[in-house]
Amino acid sequence: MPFSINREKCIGCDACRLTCPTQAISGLQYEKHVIDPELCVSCGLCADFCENKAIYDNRGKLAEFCSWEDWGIPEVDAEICTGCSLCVETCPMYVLKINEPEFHGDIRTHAVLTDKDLCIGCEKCAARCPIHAIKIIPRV
Amino acid sequence: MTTYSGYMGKVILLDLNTQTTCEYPWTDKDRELYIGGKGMASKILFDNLTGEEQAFSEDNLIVITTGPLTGTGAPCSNRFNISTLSPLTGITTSSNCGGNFGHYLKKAGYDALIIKGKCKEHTWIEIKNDKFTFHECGELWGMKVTESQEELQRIMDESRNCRVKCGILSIGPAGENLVKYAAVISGERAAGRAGVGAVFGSKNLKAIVATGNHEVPVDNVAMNDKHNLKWTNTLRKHPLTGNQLPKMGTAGLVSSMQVRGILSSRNYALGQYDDFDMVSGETLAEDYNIVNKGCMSCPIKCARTVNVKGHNVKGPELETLGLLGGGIMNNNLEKILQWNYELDELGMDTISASSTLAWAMEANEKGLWKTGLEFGKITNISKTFNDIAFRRGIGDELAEGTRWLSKKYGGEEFAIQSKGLELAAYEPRRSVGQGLGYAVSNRGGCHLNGGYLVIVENLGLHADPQTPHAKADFCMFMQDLMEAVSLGGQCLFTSYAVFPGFLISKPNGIITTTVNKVIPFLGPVVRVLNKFPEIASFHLWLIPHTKSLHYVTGMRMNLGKFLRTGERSYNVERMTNAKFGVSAKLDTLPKRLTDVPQDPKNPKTKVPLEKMKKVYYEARGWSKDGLPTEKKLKKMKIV
Repeated sequence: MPFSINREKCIGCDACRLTCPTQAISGLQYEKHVIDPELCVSCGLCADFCENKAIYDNRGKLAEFCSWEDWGIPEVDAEICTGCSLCVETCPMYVLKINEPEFHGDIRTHAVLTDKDLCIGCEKCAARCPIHAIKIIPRV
Repeated sequence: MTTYSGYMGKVILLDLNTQTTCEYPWTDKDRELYIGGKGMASKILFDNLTGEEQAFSEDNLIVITTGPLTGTGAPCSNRFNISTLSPLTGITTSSNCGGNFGHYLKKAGYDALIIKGKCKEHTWIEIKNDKFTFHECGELWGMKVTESQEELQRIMDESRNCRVKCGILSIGPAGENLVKYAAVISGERAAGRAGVGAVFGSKNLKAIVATGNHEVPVDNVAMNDKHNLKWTNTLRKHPLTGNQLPKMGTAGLVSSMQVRGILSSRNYALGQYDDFDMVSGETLAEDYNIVNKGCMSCPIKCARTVNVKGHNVKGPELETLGLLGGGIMNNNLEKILQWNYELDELGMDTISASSTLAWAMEANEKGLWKTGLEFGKITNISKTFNDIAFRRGIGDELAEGTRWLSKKYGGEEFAIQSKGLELAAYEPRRSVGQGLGYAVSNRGGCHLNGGYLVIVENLGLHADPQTPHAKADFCMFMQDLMEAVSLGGQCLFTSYAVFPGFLISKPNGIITTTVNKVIPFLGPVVRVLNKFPEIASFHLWLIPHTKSLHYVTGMRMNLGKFLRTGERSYNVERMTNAKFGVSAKLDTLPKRLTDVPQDPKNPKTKVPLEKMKKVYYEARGWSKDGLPTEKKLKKMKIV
């Protein structure tokens, strides 16, 4: 669920905007910032940088940073995956794509994770997969 | 608002004159009766068109609709539909497209978009949730399709300072110059037929971009997920959707069509092409295909990616291969790949463009219209396509389509069109049921809207292709079934699985042979099902669509209701067309197909159209004029 910024507490230091991995935060320096709920993946990185504790989750609790090592990454089961690309369209970081095998008579298309370092573990892909072909596994 | 899941609950009417939007009333009752997609669009056109409108007039409507399954993850469910009054046929048309625009239109929160009026300046529209922004085109107008889509993506990214995921719909130069068969393109996929792109052009509308953050609600998530997985596996195991289509795409049909004598050649004079193996799906797969591609949420992946002059681009479909191969007596596959790419970039329907070209070649040969276009001569074709898109020289007249040309220069007997729309690559003289479909189809000579009986007669099963027996009833059944499948937003290929796999994989087995022999006698049985679909008050494992609709929307659904919805949608489209003068008189085929036997020694190899048409109208419960009766309309709850 997306986070939001408390307008009264925000001082416009711009730290959150600079650190947001999905560029979901906009706002000029010394002005109130806002989070685009469409882009926010609730990683909490902004909360970690926010000195004024101005960032809250959707239940009104103070947002917490989830450390990078704890972010899971998706593992696609190539046997089940049909390559429907719904996860690719959902991934905010553009790190999923459909494999491109060289054609030799029979091919199976499936999704692959291209760069696990860029993956922010938002788990949107796993939630979106209509046939549960994506599992979230520990990063390290 | 709606009580059903699967819908976003909003239909938006967009007035280009005033650049304002308002909500269009679309109730739950309408949702039950028409589900979505094409049926929804047909009903909206039926309610709003009077019969006075012209395709390029301001009061023509463009209706872009999605289905309830779009965005839910059901297999092949990412299709959206564009319906409008066609400039090519003068009657309503519907064009179905697998691009990602439908998905993002729903993400923006809308089930459908109705566009009326005309922009004063060249415009593109940005839809982001409730916000509709009209932008002036500037340099965007005049750009080819891919270039314009890349530019739009760049503009979107720049405005948000990040990469924006969005669905883009745009036209190319052909649409801007009002070529009568211009297409609308979304990504690599096209809503190609009958000139929807030209209607966009006439409204000065270059593109629509949709993005948003709504999610499509699903009524029974757990059951739906389970059902999707099962269905996907069924599709992957079926010999057509799990083997032939992924391996060779639709192009794989070229060889089987050659064997059965239904590969249109030399502007439909012949049913076989000697050099077919040079343009077949096998050759395409072995020598040119780089990777399979397809629409979002599709496990079949029938689209191809090929290399043209160093670029990886979309490969041709069967229709393009057939019509730009044997159709114009060309055996150079590399050229077809290049022309297919050029036509896509110009934003033109490949079927109508190549069929018009073939007509012009024959007219040139017969001395009716000297253009320099000749069968087998391929040096001037690329230039001709460009001339058509920019309406230069002979291209200006070629852009009007075969019906217009044959009225002007003569040669109507070999103008291969019905109601103004050019036929696809299946030659109907050795597949007479398909011939009936072409003639009675609502949008004109369309293979899909006509019921696609070629799969029963030649490509899947092998029921006697020359007999008219039972064809009218099967035609109606298949038309209604395919109509219903598309209402949910799904691809028609999912209905292939209606033929159990063993019938296809063992064409000479005892069961298959028996089925093929029995089909011509099944007319009365199918007639009863067509007339009283209510008796099928159950789900059939061969048609999983009904369960999917039930799990996603929460509507009560069964096979009978599903078929009835398809029939209703088909009838309401027919009624809209009736306002524009469609009746039995216009359900015709060119004389070449009805009067001239394909094989001079076998007088049976032509389409006995009048005979089948009569039975077809009876089966549909229509009058002799080919129009639904008042009683029928009331029974179907259309009026």
